[in-house]
Amino acid sequence: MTGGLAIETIALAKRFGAVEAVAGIDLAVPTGSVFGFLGPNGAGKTTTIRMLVGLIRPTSGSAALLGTAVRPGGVDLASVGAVVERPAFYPYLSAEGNLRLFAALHGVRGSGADRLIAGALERTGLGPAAKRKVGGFSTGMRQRLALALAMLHQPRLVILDEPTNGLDPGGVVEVRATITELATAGTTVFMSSHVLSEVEQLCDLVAVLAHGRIVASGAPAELLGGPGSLRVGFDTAVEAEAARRVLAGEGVAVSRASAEATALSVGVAATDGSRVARRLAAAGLFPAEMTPVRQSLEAVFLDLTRDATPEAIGVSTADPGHRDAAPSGGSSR
Amino acid sequence: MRSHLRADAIRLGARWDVRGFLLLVPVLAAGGFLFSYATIESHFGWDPGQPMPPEVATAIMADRAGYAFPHSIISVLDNAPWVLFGIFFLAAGTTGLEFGWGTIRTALIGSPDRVRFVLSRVVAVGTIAAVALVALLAVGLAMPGVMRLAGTDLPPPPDTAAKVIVGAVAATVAMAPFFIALGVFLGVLTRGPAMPLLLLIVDFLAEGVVAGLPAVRGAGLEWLARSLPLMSVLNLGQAARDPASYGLPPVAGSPPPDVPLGLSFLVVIGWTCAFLALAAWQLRRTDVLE
Repeated sequence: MTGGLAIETIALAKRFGAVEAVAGIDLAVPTGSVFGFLGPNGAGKTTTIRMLVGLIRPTSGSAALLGTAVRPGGVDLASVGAVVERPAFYPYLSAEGNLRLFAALHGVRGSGADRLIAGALERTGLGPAAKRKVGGFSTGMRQRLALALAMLHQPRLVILDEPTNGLDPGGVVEVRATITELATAGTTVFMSSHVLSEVEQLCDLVAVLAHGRIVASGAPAELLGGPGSLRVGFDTAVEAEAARRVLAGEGVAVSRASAEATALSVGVAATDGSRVARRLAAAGLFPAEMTPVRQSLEAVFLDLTRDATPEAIGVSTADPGHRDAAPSGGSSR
Repeated sequence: MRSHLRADAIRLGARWDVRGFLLLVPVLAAGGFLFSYATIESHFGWDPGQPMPPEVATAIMADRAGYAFPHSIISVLDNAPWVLFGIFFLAAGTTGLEFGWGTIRTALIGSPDRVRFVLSRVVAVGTIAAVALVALLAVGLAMPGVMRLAGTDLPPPPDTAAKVIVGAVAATVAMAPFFIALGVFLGVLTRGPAMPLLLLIVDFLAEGVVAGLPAVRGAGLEWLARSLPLMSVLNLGQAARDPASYGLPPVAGSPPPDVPLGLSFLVVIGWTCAFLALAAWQLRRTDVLE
């Protein structure tokens, strides 16, 4: 396994009976990165995370965390913090009690544990609720406590399964800030999420999982790559029509922008805007506005995951008994 | 292992059922002791309008003598089989709830060594069991004195050899780990707190049926039937209280134990080790999907 990788999987696969939940995925998460793990429900994200932390045994393939091979029951998680699926705590213990228990499992106690617990509670804004029993916590508070638990022992790698699930907008902003802080401090963050804007905003690298297979991976900008377009607006429809003719004559893909008579959609990359402006100016046409139109990650995600349907790849349907079980298939983008 | 034990001390120490159990053991044991003493006469039938027949009076006196020290220790243990079921329920319940609540996931992420998780739970519940058994012994030691202070004249104790008392206590001490290991195993196997109790009852009935089968009884296989898990525990309890097990004159009318005392201990210890190994094996091989 490579030393520079916080997470590495090689052909990691998990089968539940006839259903292939994860179909041999290769992941390479560089140390210090924030890695987004995207996929629709049932794509295999949680199953992959469970394999990474040794909760379930892969059917085949291998995984390594921080250069150490993962074995169920024998995985070294001393430098790893993780939140898997919905957070689970001892409801009769307080937030502080749950953290103390977790600290004890990591071999930390006494004043060392007090310091870590106080720090984790403060970072997640749970200080005022520290003595309250977790049984009465809201979903958002449980999510915060899960984050506190994951960060408690100051791990080098944090694995988060949909970390902003159930949080109010304020909580979402705080969690994102926390993730940014972790990344700034050099901690590797591996997070699964449905919130694509969040992934786009936070992650250096992204992998998209569909039906147990990685269908695309790379930097968000790479995934959003492609021709893109420019919205070019004019004061009058006559100018717009003249511009359309000029650009079409140059072989540029150009069309009316939706139903607006005064705007054009020009099929060039945003970086080619100056070239378009020069050509139009040479023809005596001066746009009132030129706006790069970026393809959204949502559109890319839907496109990728729609293409990788089970029918398209001829595999069995999802396991009704397992949240993440899904057939394999798809292809790399 | 110490980190697991510290975690279990936090987990179990805050549970109301553990605290309640430890509080109830001495209270119910003392109450049961007094109640059973007070109702001895109800076990014998005679016409209340007539004077008590001498043989009934003798039998009642003999029974009352069983409540005098040191035989009072055996009487307390005889009146408190529920303590062992309580220990079983704590072991199975606390283990099963880890799956029910999903905290097994949190625990294994905190410390992934599954064998240590099992061992730690056994030791933690074992500590609770030890406290409960010490409480039982304390009740057995104290109650005759308390009754005397309350003005109850206990007859002189029966001529019970110290060996029998020590054997009865040792048998109870050996049974506690058996029920803990069985409880943890069934908790891991069924992944819930309720099913282990049901399985215990079903197993008890099944073992009873097997032990009663003519094919078993007629073929001289009683020893095999008595080696089944729960039957072996019953056999140990019986053998440990039988003077014949210690080379002493047997109680008149009672048959000799089917399985010698030493072998009874070994069988129970063997089952304890087997359940412990099964619990560890089952947790090691299982996918934690909770």
